[in-house]
Amino acid sequence: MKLLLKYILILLIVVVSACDTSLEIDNPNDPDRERLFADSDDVEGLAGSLYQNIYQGAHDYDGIELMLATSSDNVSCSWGNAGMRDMSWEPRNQAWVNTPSYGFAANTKYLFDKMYSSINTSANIINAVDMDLDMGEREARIKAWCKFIQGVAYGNLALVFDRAFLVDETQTVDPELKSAVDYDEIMKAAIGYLEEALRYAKENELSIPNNWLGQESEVSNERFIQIINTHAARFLAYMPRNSSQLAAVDWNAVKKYADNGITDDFEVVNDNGVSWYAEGADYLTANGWGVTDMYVVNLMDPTQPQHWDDNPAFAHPPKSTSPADHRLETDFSYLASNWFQAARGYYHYSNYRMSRYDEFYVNATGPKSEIMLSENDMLRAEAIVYSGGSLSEAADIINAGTRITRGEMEEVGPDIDEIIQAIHHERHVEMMLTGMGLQFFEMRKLDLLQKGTPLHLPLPAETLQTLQEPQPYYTFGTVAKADGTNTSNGGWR
Amino acid sequence: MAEPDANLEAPNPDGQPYYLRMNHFNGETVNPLYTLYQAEREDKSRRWMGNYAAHIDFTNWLTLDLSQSIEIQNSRYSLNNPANTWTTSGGTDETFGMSYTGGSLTKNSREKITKNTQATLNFNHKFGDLLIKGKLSYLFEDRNNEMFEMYASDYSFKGTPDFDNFVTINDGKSEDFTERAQNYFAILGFDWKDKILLDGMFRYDGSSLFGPDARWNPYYRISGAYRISQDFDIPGINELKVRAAYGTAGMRPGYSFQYEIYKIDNGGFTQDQLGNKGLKPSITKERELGLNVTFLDKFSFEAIYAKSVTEDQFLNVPLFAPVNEGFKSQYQNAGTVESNTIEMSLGANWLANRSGFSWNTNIVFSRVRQKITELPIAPYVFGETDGGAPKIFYVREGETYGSMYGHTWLRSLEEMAQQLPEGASISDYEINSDGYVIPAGTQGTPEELAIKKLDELGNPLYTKIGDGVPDFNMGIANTLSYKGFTLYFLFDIKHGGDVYNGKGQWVTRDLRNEVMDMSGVPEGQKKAYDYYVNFYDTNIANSYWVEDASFVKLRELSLGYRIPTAALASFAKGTFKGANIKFVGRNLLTFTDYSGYDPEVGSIRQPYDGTYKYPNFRNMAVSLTLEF
Repeated sequence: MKLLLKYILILLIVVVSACDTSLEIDNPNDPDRERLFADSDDVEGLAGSLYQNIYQGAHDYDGIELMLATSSDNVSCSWGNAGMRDMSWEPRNQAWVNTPSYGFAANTKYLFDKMYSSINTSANIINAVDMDLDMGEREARIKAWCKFIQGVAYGNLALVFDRAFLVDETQTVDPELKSAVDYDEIMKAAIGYLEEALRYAKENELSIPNNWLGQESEVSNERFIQIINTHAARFLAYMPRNSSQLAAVDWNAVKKYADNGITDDFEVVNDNGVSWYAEGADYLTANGWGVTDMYVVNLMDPTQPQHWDDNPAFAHPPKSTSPADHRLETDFSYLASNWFQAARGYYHYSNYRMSRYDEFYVNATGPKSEIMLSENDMLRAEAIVYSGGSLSEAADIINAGTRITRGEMEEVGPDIDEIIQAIHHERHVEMMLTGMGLQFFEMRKLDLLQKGTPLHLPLPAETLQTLQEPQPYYTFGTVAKADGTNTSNGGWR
Repeated sequence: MAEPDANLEAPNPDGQPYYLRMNHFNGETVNPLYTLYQAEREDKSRRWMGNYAAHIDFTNWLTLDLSQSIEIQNSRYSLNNPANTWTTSGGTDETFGMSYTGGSLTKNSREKITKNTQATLNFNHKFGDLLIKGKLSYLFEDRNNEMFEMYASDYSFKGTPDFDNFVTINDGKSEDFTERAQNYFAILGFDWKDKILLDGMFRYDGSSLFGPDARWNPYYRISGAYRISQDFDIPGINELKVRAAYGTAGMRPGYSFQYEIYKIDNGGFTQDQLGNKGLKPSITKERELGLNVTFLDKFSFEAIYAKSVTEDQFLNVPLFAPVNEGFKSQYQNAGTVESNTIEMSLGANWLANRSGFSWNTNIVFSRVRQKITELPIAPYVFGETDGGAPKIFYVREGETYGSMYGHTWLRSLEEMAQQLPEGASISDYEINSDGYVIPAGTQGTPEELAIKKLDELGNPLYTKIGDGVPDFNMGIANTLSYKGFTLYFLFDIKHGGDVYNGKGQWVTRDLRNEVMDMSGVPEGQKKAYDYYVNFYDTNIANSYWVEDASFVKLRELSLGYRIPTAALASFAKGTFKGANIKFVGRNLLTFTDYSGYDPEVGSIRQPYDGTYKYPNFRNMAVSLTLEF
């Protein structure tokens, strides 16, 4: 019996002690705040991925890039995905359905969540740096960078939504709808953050690591300052929801920022979907998906129809033989047939598609323009015109740019209408598929969005649900609600 | 979808078969045979199971069992897309717009190890008429799951699928999950004169899936049975027993539920979920009543009724990100589900070896009803979709779990009268041959379009369109044997329960749904394509695609023969002591009105027949068993 007991005991000990029986297990797969914010290198790493979140929020298929492109008559696509079709019906009576069960409610929420992810994290980082962590010389860079991120994230929110919540390392809000502030307040705050970023950058010699901004090489202090300036110019200039708000923009400020802006294309190096992927533009040009809206085709060749009428008798327009804009032949390809369903409306049809990025999207690897030099140039010209500056100076900027070098078009003279039209043209053609919603912001401030198009979007339904707001949730859009402040009552047609 | 006249066998510009861009008018349609031809995929898996146990008799009433079982499962796969794989863009006119992708390589390896160690002390002694049995046990569970994966694209040199053959490795990932649990339990059972039985169990479990404050939890069960037939002699009744039980059980959460997660991916991150170290187990309390009767020396019947309440469900609650540090969700204990189950089975031993012939039948019946009785958060939709389709399963207080919600179509003029558009009258509408309200006089024309039911605000009504819960499930099995032959067949019956025919909805978009084929339909009864495309409704969930999925299936049919020992004795010097040969067929026949491939698709909670769902395979097997 004693021997037996001895053997049993040995067996038990061997069996049980051979394994670690602790029930306290940390998650080795993903960090939490405790782990991340304890180490200054980790915090820097976290900061470095903030712009990725913004890029994803702006360009992922799950976001709103696709629906802003179709609603602005820049790209045409009648597939229902990502709200593309609902936002581009003619007449515009299908958007915006603000209920949690709406098929595309998640798209606006995606942008909202991604921007707040960057805002909240940069606030946490600034707090960590101020309180516990000793970053040494890196402190100025982190603060400049976090302020830049907050500025860009709030800028994006102010461009797209009618209101948002102002939170940062110094302030928070109560979780209810009435804590939200209007978009002009948000934009003021956004410019404020960008100004702070500029201050840090100018007072210190910083350089931004290349992977923070998806660049090939390190971003120098000078270039970082330029990038911040261009962002500020864009946000101020794209803010107006209609032409009267356009007149109220501080164009002198826009000019100041744009004149100190980028001096060459700001490109983000895509890496085949790993960290940086301009996904939205992939869908907007893929074979079988987006085609070029006839509005844009007509801009490049006025002999082409401006609108594909909604009847089967409308003839398929022939290929252009000598378009006014040479880019119709270099950047676009002729389509002899359409892949969309006739039942969804012939007005979605087109005879051209954008092929500039075809080779790029085979592997989605390599640099892709996020903000072109052309965009900054147009902002400079626009600011000069609207601030009452020299029209010939504005015309010179345009004539030195892509209108002539790539488009081989006629030069513009010192005439306001000609200049504004030329800027409009570059934004639709040269800057197609670069920044999210660029053409949407352009069309809305000139009262050109088709009647019934929302001029901005309401807060996402799922967010309102979490705030325990009672349904039905407020929303915009449809011809019946066309008031010129929330829903377009203008339209180029 | 592919055009019916696409030539799948045409060659690619470089001679590779199965021309990729088989539809020139649509760059999205690609030849499915090309990927099968070109991509090289290899899956390997290996499983090792072992168990060692010791049994020690201290006395004739006290014994000890020790055991440890180990299972190691390793699976690996490798996917190589050669450098000369075609894709539909990036090319020239000569190559029809196609170009080579440059190839890619993915390798993935996963190993799961499960080790369970258990020590049980058994007690068994009879005191007069009372038999007492007891157990004291300790169980330690240890699970580990590790995975590595690497991906790279654009080969430097063709023909060598090796990770050194790339300039950069695009992506790598790894995962490591460990889960442990320690469980103590005690069981005590009393058996008095073999007619009154009483059992009790107490359990104390600790799991690493919970935070330290919620880690250890007690559970228990008590049950009793009374064999009435021991005390009362009822004519014709061989055995009559009633029993009752009440118990609690806890459910463990998913691995990640307790952790705060900054989801890292390729150096970037997203704030995912806020942790919850206080997350408790979801507790189910169940009471059960049962009856067992065997009668007339041939029949045995069992009926069970169970009612259970599960509280503190694990719900992924959405958070207002701006005031939650950017975190979007958190797992919380909330919500209660109640369910009632009735199960019955009847066995009949018609003939028991009457001149070598036996036949018995076994019928089982079950019916489950489940309802969400409490949901303290806003209702939400969930479920898999085919990408691009909205989710259709809706969780809401007072609703059955697995209800489908969507839009619905008007089927009566009374309903139409409630939502007449301005200036219209009810005489402008009629019911068509399928029972739907349509504008009057449009039947058989492209203007024949069903009308959605609207809510008070004039938006399409979002309402319940079906659910997957069947009225009942039944199984009927028969076994017949004669001399050495055994014939077995099993019928499975499901009555009621809907399925959402997602496949049908998608193919209607491409005008390929069978129901749209008007050949053979008499002239006055044809319907236009537009009528059906209207039901496609840009893939929005709607009631047209909900179908009753009742079925009767011949689940299994088998015929076996046991070779007599005597015959074996003379074969190979009697090496074989026994031999048995059997032919088995499964899922042989299905009788159903469901229009899709197979009504048995998805699950009761998610009966969704999507584009990636295959029907159950019919299979036939032969087995030969030899005993040495």
